[in-house]
Amino acid sequence: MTTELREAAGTSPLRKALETTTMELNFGPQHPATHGVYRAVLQLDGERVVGIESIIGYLHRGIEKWVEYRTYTKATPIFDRLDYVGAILNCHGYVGTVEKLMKIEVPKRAQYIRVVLDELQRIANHLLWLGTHALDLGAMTVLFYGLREREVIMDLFEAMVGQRLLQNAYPIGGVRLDFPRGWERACRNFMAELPHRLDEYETLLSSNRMWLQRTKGIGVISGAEAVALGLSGPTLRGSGVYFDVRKCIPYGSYEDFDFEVPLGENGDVYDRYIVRVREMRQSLRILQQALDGMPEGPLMPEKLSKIIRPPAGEVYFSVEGAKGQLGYYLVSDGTDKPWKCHVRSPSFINLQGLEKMVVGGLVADVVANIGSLDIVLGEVDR
Amino acid sequence: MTFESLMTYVGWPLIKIVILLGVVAFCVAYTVYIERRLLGFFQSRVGPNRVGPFGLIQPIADGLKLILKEDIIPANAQPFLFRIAPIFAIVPAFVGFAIISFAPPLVTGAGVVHPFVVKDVNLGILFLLSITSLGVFGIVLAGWSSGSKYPLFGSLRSASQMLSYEIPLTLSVLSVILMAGSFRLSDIVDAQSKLPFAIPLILAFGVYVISAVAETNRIPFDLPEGESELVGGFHTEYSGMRFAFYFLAEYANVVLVCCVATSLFLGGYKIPFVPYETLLAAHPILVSALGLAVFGVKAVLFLYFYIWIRATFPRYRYDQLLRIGWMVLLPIALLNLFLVAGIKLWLLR
Amino acid sequence: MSDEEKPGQPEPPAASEAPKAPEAAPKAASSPDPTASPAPAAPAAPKPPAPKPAVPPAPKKWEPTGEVVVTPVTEKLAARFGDAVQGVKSPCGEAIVLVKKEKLGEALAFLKSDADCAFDFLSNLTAAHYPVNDKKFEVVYDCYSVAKRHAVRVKVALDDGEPCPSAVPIWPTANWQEREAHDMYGIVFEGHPNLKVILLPEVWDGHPLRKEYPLGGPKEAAIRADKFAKPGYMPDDLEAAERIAEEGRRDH
Repeated sequence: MTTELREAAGTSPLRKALETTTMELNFGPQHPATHGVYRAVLQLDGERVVGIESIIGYLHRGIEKWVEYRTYTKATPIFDRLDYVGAILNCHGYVGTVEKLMKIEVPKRAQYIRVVLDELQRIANHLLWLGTHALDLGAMTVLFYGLREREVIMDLFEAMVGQRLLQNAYPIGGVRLDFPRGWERACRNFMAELPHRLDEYETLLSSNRMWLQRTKGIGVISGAEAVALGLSGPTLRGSGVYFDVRKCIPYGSYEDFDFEVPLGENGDVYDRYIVRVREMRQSLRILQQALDGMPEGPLMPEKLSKIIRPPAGEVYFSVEGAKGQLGYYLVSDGTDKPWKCHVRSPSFINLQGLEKMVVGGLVADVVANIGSLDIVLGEVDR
Repeated sequence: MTFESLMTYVGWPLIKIVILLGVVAFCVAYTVYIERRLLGFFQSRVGPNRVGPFGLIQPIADGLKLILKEDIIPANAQPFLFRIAPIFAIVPAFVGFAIISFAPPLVTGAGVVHPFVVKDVNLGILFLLSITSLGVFGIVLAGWSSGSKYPLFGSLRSASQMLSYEIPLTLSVLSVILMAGSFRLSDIVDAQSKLPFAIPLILAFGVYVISAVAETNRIPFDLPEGESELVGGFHTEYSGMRFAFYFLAEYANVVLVCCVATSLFLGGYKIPFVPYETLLAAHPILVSALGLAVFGVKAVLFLYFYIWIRATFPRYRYDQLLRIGWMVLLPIALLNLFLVAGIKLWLLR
Repeated sequence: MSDEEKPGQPEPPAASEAPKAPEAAPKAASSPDPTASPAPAAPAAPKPPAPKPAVPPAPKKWEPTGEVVVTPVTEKLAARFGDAVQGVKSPCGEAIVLVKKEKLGEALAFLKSDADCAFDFLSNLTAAHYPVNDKKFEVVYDCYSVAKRHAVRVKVALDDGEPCPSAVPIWPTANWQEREAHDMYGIVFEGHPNLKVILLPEVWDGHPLRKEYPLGGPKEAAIRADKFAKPGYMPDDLEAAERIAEEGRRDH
């Protein structure tokens, strides 16, 4: 029963008769649309959500403790396990943090190679997100199309660093190997193909009335609210806030490239969707420029000791991860193991925005909103 | 009672029912197969192709698997209702086939006619509509007796969805009845020898297609199941053969809707402007076979369209679905009905 | 450095700067600190918390290397809060300030509301454990201004169990991050609307990111508790340890 009806009944005996209670619905942790072991306890008034409590931690693996017992080098692959569909970006965040702390100058060619792999990873992540998000809303075909293109990127990764999903792509200081022969051509072929594919997806979704009805005006969050809640990445930019770490706190030669930061207007599910789709196109632009302007030079700095032992002190460094601002807070005590490492994982913090988005909406919108946040539980729980 | 009358009233119908059940069950199983294959092609993958040539034995393997699986009854469930609910779902879906005439009657000798229909009821359409609406009981019972919240949600949604879409569906069918002047399906098919009703009744056809998708709980209207929201909807708690019943019921409904659409709107076994029944009157078996083939091709094309929809569209939200039913389809169906009635009256004048 | 008492290791005299670790130091974990810079070496507690019952090195305070970075923001903070704010050295040029706990809430609110600072985005909130420091815990706020595009890190030092004012009223994003810091370090945030476990199970014992947290779980904790109770503890007393651990588990 709606609140208005209840209030209209006033204190009459009718009110007692009309009184209803909310229903508690356990949404997850095993649920097809929670993208992992995320659990939301929904308070429902009919189909309407009146309250939500997020319960997380089912995938907590204690990565931050674990890292304290590894040397800096050995800690690198662990961070791939955070956001396992955007592993290269995690790796870049971590090695970038150590490099910043030790003031290592990464050679220009290595930086460009990192940009290439980063942007490929971002595209791969967004493709997978697009597919799963569309699947959440019932459009199953897009998932397979997205996976098809992602497969090409996985093959590129495999050729480049030998791994497909958890690549452990970068060592501290630079990159290990140059592009293998023919890799660049394969990459360019993919880059030529992808815009048409993106058009295809947009035909299926962006111009589809049902898609628009399911996404426009759903889960609206204003720019000010989004900033206050600490949202970042496409989720924040969907609300029209210009904050992209690649532009605002440039790292790894991103200032060399000419690209736009797509912004949404209303901060609804559709805007978050369209921002990500446009971001893929911008990533392609960056890729193009990076491959065209690839400088020659070494891949690792010349004077880098085998044992990484940063000076005592602390550092905070962030990259634009696939989900948002991926920050690493690292404390060194001068030994070869980190004293403390904290990951500011964008999924974890973006998930806080869910409550604001779903309360007042319907059950089906919860699914749309979780999808639009693009969370990966490996990163939420760490 | 003579043997002959026994055969006429009991024997032949029984034989027909058994044959029809077998054929329909077979068609339903292979509808699943066709759907999976087609979805595979739509989605740039292969689909089931491991069991038998082209995966043709896949439905049988699936059926075997489901029969052999454990039949779980949740602790919170109402065991009796939980057990019988799938029967409520599957029986109406199969009974509906009884009145559909799949081919022109087979004429063997003077006056001996074997219609390709279990029973050509003179109120056929009404029978069909009432029987298929019973199917919702299976879903509501399943949701209520499962003792779990997701199925409850699914069945509540299903009840309101069925209620909303039954009306435009019936109204669109009413205009067909007006056109044909009969409730009997064979008469309706005969009335379409010149022109399938889909062309003059394009509005009704559209309403019928959309409502039919909603009635059969398919994407974009598959809210009672709504996999990503309600896990499995009303059949979340079902397993094994009871789940298979729901599965079969859904696809039997799909096939039924295809057959009904073929009969009502696409001219059934008739080919427009080609009166093959009179041309080939010398070969009655050929006539029936051709009619069956024509019917089959139309039904399969319609089925293809159905699967195509599933591969393309996202899912509507619950409130949007109801809004479309009441605010869009119902007025269109009513308008169409008045138009058809008016034109008919004007022509009769 | 835990091994200050072993200075006699072979070490090439060239390796005097911090980033260049000496090539001749393969025994990485036990080699002495090569930072010959004026900054003293870091904490005395051995990193794996299982302590060798050797002579404990003299406790040394946590001291970062590098320079104190002064930015307009830190200047403004210093001007406003005076002694309550002091700069912290950073090895890589970040603006860091340590704020006294009493002034923390005020300082954070000032950072958010002041027109020149305008730190509307709390990028990161976490805590850290320094067992050798006077105040064992630090809570770290990484503030960023989306509008002004500048950053500052605010830290506050706390004793064990000393409550910290919550930043949730200032930045709602602090909500889950404070809950996480509460989980991991046991820091109590005063004024937090919903301070309960977030990443750990509800019945979890202890705070895993504290340095003394036993990696072996309750069993190791029990053994260690026993060990501290009676100095002559022998490792064959595992049954007793198991029993203690079992009792501990049953309490939940």
